[in-house]
Amino acid sequence: MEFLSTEVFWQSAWTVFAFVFFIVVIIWAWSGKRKDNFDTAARMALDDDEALSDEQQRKR
Amino acid sequence: MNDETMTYDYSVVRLFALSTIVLGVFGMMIGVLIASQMAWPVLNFDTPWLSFGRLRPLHTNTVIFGFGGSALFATSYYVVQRTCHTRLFAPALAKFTFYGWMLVIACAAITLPLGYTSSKEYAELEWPIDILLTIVWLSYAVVFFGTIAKRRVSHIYVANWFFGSFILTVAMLHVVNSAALPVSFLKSYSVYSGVQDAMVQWWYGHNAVGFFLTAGFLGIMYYFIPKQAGRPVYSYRLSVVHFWSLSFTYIWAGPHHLHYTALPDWTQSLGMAFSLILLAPSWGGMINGVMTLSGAWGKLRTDPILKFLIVSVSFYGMSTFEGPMMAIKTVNALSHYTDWTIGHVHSGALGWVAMVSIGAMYFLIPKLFNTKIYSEKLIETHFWIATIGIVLYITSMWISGIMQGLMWRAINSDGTLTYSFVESVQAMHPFYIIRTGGGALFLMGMFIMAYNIVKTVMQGKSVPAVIPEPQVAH
Repeated sequence: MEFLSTEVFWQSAWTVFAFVFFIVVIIWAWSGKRKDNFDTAARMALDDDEALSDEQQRKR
Repeated sequence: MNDETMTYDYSVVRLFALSTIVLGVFGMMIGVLIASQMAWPVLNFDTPWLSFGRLRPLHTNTVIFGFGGSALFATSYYVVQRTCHTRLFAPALAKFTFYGWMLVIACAAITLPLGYTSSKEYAELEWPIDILLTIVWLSYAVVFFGTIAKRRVSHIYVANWFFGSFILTVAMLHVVNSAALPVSFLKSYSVYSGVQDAMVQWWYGHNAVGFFLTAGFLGIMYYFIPKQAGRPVYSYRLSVVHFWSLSFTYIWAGPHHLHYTALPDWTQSLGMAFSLILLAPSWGGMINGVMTLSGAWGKLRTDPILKFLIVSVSFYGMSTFEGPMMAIKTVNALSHYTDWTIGHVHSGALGWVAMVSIGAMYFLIPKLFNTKIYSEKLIETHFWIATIGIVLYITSMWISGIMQGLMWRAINSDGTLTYSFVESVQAMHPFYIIRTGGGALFLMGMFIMAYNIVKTVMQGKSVPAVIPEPQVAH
């Protein structure tokens, strides 16, 4: 039985990781609960003269 | 709270915005000079420091790092403050990035004509200047990410993601590619040799395109197009996928600069495959930029700034289609080492990078000086002169390049070459003249812009811009 060299293993592992990462980003971006946030974010350049709402503010 | 913390810091933004114009004019003047030298070699004046080989790197350094770099510094410092609703972090360090960056450009303008070069394309500067550049760049990172860290908005806007990725990646590329052993004050040798050196160089070179000339300017696109169009980003979801897929893909495309060389075949194929995949994120971003205008298309008729911005994104779409196509090995066999490459680069550099920067500066500079632009009409004139200039430039280089490629590979039935090299040079001559004309038109547009900006700045005043106070929690 032949074993993969570590080099080939990591090349394949990276390909699989990158593909899975891409799918996760798509699922994350299209998940319903982020829609409102994204709608506000899409207006961030436009609304940069306006006061931040309570939800937009960063809680520290 | 004192006044300082309640206003944005525009002082460094103003400096970089104005240096964008100055270095744009200077860099493009050198461009027109060396284009003229190609058409009329007598313009070398038999002077070493006026020869094409020494002035060409000065042209690329001044337009990419001087003009483009200044535009990126100015817009990123402006955008990060405004979308984070906070004042710039470490303003003194930000000022240092301006003077440091100008010193780097000044050193380039002295050493390159004198012939001091590490001979790495787009990384020609010798090691002491490389070290200065590294210090300036790390300071830039501290200012930018420091501002992000003290933001008052919880969400980090997509433009800042692109600026951030550009800053981080350029730091990595510059340090790795410029690693060298100094043998004297202005002479060093790369620590890499042979094909590894070539691969590191084009890993750097192509990602300088991908992150310096693309990711950074996409940051400009994601702020200034919504702003000028008065519309939100077309799809914020797409912008997230755009960011991650572009960042993951670009980094692998470098080997397409080394097709049919000593580079292993599998590496060439990898570079070609990733270059083809790159079409998807590139066009995703292009569509996102153009579609931001949906519902406001009418503005394109009357708003010359929007014309600059939208045409720039169209050129971006065009050159990111052309790029993957040229990365296909069989196409590359025809296009490589010909003027087609120069045409492709300038459709990206003039069409995309310069046009989006010019549009952003026409928006930004009146804001920085609390005034309106001196003349909208001159922007319109600039737009048309620049567009005609680019079209002349790239079409002449396409024709010349494809002709060169075909002449070099033409073979008679007995196996001998149909054309000598000098016959192909002779055939290119008219196209070199047309290219010079195109470049001169583009430069003329920059002069019009410089006049318009000087007038605008003279009628304006530097007034501090107030950061909007957030609503009180309830």
